[in-house]
Amino acid sequence: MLVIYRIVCENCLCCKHSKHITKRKCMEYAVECRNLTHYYGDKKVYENMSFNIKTGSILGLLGKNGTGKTTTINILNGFLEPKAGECFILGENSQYLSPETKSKVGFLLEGHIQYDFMNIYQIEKFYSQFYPQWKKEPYYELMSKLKITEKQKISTMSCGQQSQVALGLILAQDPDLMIMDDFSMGLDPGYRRLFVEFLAEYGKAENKTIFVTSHIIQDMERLIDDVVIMGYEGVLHSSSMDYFMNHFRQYDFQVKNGPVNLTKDDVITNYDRVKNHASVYSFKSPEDVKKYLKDKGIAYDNFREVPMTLEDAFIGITGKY
Amino acid sequence: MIKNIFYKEWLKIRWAYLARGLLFAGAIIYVFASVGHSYKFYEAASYWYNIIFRGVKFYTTLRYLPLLAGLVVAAVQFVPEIQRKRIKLTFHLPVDEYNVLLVMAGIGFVSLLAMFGVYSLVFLLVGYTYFPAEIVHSAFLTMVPWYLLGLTTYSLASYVILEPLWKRRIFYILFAVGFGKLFLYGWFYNIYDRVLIGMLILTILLSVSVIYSGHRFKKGVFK
Repeated sequence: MLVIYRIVCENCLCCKHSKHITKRKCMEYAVECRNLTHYYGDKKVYENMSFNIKTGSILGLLGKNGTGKTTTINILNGFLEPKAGECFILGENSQYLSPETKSKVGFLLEGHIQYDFMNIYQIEKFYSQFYPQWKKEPYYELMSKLKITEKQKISTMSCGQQSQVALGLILAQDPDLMIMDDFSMGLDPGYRRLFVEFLAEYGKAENKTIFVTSHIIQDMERLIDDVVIMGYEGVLHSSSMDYFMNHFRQYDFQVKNGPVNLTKDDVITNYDRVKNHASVYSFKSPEDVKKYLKDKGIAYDNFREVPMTLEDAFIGITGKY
Repeated sequence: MIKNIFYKEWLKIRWAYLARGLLFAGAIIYVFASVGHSYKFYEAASYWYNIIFRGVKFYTTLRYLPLLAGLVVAAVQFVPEIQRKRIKLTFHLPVDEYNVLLVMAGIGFVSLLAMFGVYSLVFLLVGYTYFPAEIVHSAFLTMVPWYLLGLTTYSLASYVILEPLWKRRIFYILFAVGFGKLFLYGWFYNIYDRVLIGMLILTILLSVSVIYSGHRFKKGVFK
C-alpha cells in the first residue's frame, strides 16, 4: 500500500534535497523490485525476481550475457514494461516516474552513450538547465584532465574520454540514485580503476545509492556492498558482499572411486569435474560437505578449501558455460 | 524546457537548415533566371499564353524540394536519437517524455514552416516583377500542396524513424509513399484549391504522430 503523507525530515540523508515528501515515508530502500517477470515472446528472461537496494549502498548486479541485466535496468528506468511485477524508484513506480524523481536519478547508458554531436561545453550547458542542483565544478574538474581541444565533439573522443564525460555529467547532476549499466565497457584498466575508485569514494562520502552492472568482476569486488547474481533461471544469490565472500566456498578434492554422480542440491550449489579432479561450490562448512560426500558414498582424497576472488565465486555459482 | 530542447535540436539541424536554405535559394534563382531567359528569347505575350492556356509551369524545379527538406530534417533530428537508443537519454530528462517528443517534433515542423514561409514570400515578391498577380497567386496555390507534403513527410518520416520494429517501419514507409502521392496528384493549376483546407487539417493532425512511435519505444515493444 502506498501511504501518502507529509513529514518534515530535514535531517534525513535520503531526502536531504527536500524538506517534505509526499510519497512513501523516508525510504530504507532506494529501489524495490517485486516479483518481476519478463518474457521476450516465448523466451523467459526471469520469473518472480525480487530485490531491494538499501539507501546509501552500492549494489552490483552480476550475471552472464542474456540473463536479464539490461532488461532489469530498462525496467528500472521505465524503458520496458515487465509482463508482471513492479519496481519502485525512490518510492515511485518505475513505469510512471515523475520529473522530480527523474531529476534525482543519474543514468549511465551501456557504452557511455551521450549526445555525441555536442562538445563538452555544449552538453554541460544543455543538461545544466534541467537540474536545479547542478554543480558544474566537479564536471569541469574532470574535463580538465581530458586532453581534448575546446570544440572537439564527443563523437571524436576515445571510449575512455567519453566515459569521463558521462561520469562528469552524472557527478554534476548530483543525483541521489545512480544507475550505471556496464560502466566498464570498452575502458582500459586505467580508466576502469579511475571510475571504480571515484564511484566508491563519491558514493560513501555523499551517501549515494549506486546500482551497477559490469562484466569486469574484479572491478565490482572493489566497489560494491551488496550483490545480486543472476543466472538463466533467475536470481541465483542475493546478499551482502561480506556474506557472499565469507560463506560461499570452493572445495577441491580427488575422487578415488570411479564415476561419481554429483548433483546440485541444498549442499552443492554447483560443481565441476575434470577426470578425477572435482570442485564443489557450497555455502556449507567443510565438515558439512565432507559428511555429504561420505553419505553419498563418494571416496575422496586431498580435500581442501580453495580461496576465491569474486570472479572465481561468480564463475563457481553460475558455471563456466 | 522548450528553450533547452530547441538548443539541442538546433545543434542537430543547423547545418541541414543552411544546406536547405542554399538549395531553395539556388532553386528560386534558377527558376526566375529561366523566366528571364524565356522572356529574352520568346515574346512575353507568347510566354504568358503558354502559361495561362497551355498550363506550362515555370516553377516545376521547386516541386520536390519541400519533400526533400522534410526528409532531411526528420533524418538529422531523429536518426541520432535512435542510434544506440540514444533517445533513452531524452526520455530520462526530468520532464514529461511525451511533451519532449512534441517539442522536438514541433521544432522541426516550425523550422520547416518558417523556411517554406520565407521562400514563398521571396517567390511571390520576385514573381510580381515578372508576372501579373493572378499568375503568381495561382502558382503559389498550386505549390501549397507541395509545402504541405514537405511538412507531412517530416511528420511521417519522424514517425517511421522512431518506430522500434523494422517490419512496421517498412509498412509505414509504404503507407507514407502512397499517402504522399496524393499531394502530387495532377498537374493543373489550382487543382487542389477545394481540398486545401482538408489537406492542411491532415497535415496538422499527422504532426503529432511521432508520439505513438515514442510510446512504443518507451514501452519496449519488440513485436
